[in-house]
Amino acid sequence: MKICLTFLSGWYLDLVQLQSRKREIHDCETPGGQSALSLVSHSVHFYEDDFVFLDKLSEFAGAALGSGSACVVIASAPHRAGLTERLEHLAINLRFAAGCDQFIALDAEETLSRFMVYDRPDRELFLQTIEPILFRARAAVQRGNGSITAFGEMVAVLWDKGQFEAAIELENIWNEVVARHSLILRCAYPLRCFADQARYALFQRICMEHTETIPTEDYASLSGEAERLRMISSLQQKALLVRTVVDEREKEIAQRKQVEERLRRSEQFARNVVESSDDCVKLLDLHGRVEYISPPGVRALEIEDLNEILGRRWVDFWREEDRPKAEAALTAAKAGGVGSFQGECSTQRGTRKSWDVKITPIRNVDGKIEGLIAVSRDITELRHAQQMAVQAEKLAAAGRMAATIAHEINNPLEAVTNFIYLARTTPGLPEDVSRYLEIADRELTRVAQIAQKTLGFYRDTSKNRWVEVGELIQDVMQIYERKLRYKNIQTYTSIDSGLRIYVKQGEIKQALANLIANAIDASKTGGKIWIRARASRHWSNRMETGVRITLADNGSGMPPEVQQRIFIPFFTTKAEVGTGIGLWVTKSIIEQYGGYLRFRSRQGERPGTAMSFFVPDGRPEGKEITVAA
Amino acid sequence: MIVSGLCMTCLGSSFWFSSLAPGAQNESQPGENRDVIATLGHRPLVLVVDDEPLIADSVAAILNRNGFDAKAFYSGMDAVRSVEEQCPDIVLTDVIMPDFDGVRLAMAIRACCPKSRIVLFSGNAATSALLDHAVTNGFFFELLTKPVHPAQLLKTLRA
Repeated sequence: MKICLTFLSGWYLDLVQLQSRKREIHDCETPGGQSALSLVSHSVHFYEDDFVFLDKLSEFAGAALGSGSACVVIASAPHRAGLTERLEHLAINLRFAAGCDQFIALDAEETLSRFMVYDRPDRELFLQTIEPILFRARAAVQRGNGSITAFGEMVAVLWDKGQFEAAIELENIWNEVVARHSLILRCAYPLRCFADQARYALFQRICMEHTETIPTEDYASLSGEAERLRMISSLQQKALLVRTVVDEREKEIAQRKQVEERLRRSEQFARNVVESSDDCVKLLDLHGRVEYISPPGVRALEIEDLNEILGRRWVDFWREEDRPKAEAALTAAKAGGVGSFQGECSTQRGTRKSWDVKITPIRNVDGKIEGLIAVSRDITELRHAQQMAVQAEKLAAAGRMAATIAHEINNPLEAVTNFIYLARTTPGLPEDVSRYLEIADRELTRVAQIAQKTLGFYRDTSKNRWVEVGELIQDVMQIYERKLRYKNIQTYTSIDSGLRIYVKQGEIKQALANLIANAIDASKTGGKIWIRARASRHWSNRMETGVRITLADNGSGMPPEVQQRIFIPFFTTKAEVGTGIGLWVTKSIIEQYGGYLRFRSRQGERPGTAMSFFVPDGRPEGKEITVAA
Repeated sequence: MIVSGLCMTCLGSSFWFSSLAPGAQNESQPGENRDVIATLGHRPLVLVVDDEPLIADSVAAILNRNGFDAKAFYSGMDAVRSVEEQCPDIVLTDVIMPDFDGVRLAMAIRACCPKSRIVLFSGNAATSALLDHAVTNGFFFELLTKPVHPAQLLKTLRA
């Protein structure tokens, strides 16, 4: 109902305006050759609302039809339907008008397709398409009287597709047709087509193509000069307002950009800190579930699939006995404090690692705790070093104790040995007493031997001197001659002649004796031991020459877990007789001379162990090597 | 059977060397000192110094039975006093002793009796520290580690 009223008032006003509007008056030659004054115009209507547009269009078309003019409409289907409805509402017999070509309606898209070539309007095709229609309309007009009124929105269709230049070209061709056929042409664009600063120039060009511009609904129907001036002032005020708003918006945007840049930098900084640290940084939610792990953390935890970890409870990753500590730290952080503990947690690949952990709360702007940040430092190496230090300390303590006991035991041992000797060598002893004393002497020898091995960390305080390797090996073999014979062990020695090393003889003898004693212990009755000595070079420093002594047996061999531990002091497989320092001492002695000790061992088929050590042949002119216990 | 050419550097391990060859102790007979006596023209005079009287006495007794002329002292000071009368052929002294340790004694005797053979005799790893001190002062002494079997001791002193 409201639409109808608006329409009626608009219709009336339009009729008034039609006469008052400024129009270009062209001299126009009619097809009949008569020169006549005719109204010619090419107006453009910018609209915001489809209803208003259709109302205006029906006024335009209705006025033409009502005054006996012909009307050609090229529009989209919805617009044609809207127009038809409105014109019929005005009691215009459209069917009749259409029957006598007074009203011709065409589809915009379909008409466009007839003359568009490569997205450009082809002038010839356009004329071939449009002119026959205009001739038909002209014929209808000549039966009565009046001019041709045309409406087209093909330009708007092109504009909508972004083909701006094509639209302007089409406007151009229309201008030519308007002049040739004395048309009153109107085209229309939705104003939103120009809601873009960049299209301001195009908007100006569109306006330039037209003789008349019909502004949007608010300004289309001004009743007089006073109203017009008021509107202009109002528009100027609005324009100023818009400029102010735009300025403010621009300032706001600049400020926001600055803030964003600061935020970006601070985020970048935080990320750099987190990602460059070797620490494992994790974000947890308030339920203790893992939300984020820093890239170094992912590497340290040897994580292959992060998705498997995210969302799971952080506490569950800890070793079972460390979980209460982890839980307590989490609770402390949730309460606003700092939680910390040390514990063990395996990586995704199963490597056991020790960690030093600190958890702190993350607060939002209001100070409310909304998450937790857990920073873990890998202290596996540190732990290991600490354990080693403890071990070394234990060793030193054991050494001190051994020295004390040795002193306490060796003196009485010496005295008893002496007295038994005196008793044994007393002439005229009964035979059985002599035998008892002999047994006592032998047993005491064993005690002395054990004390020596266990407590007497052997120290050689003499100076280095040249030692013939052949003699050295022969000497040590002689020590074990009885033992070798007892177990019926065959020995095969192969020693290059002329080999010599610059060492302390007692120490190197002890080192070699330990290796031979081990080989004999590992051998079964009837086993074999090979000893070989060769001139050689240091494995990493090929310039350094020296002697390599290799000792191999076909004894029982060592399982891998024993192989890993043989150089650890006080580790022994010979619980009853061994002290667990033999190989450790041997290795230390060899390394003190700048040499190294290596071994290979296997069990099962063809078992055995080969120990091989290299000692540089030394520098008599160099600094004296002092040997620490 | 017995390792030949034992030098001072391997004496430390000589105890267990000899112990693996039982019967060695039976070789020591008084008569075997003849070589030494022939060289010296008399029974070698040995000062045996140990703060443990049992050790000093027993070692002296063993040596006396085996062709040496041994005197036992229980302190380094007493031993030094005796040296003023006559330089010994051999000084066999414990290292760790109260008041006057073996290394000091050895150095004192070396100063007044340069020809005397000095053999240190110790059951303690701390000996090395004292010996290092002597070495840095330019003294080198033989070292036997306790317990040393009498047979080995005799062999060493006869060498």
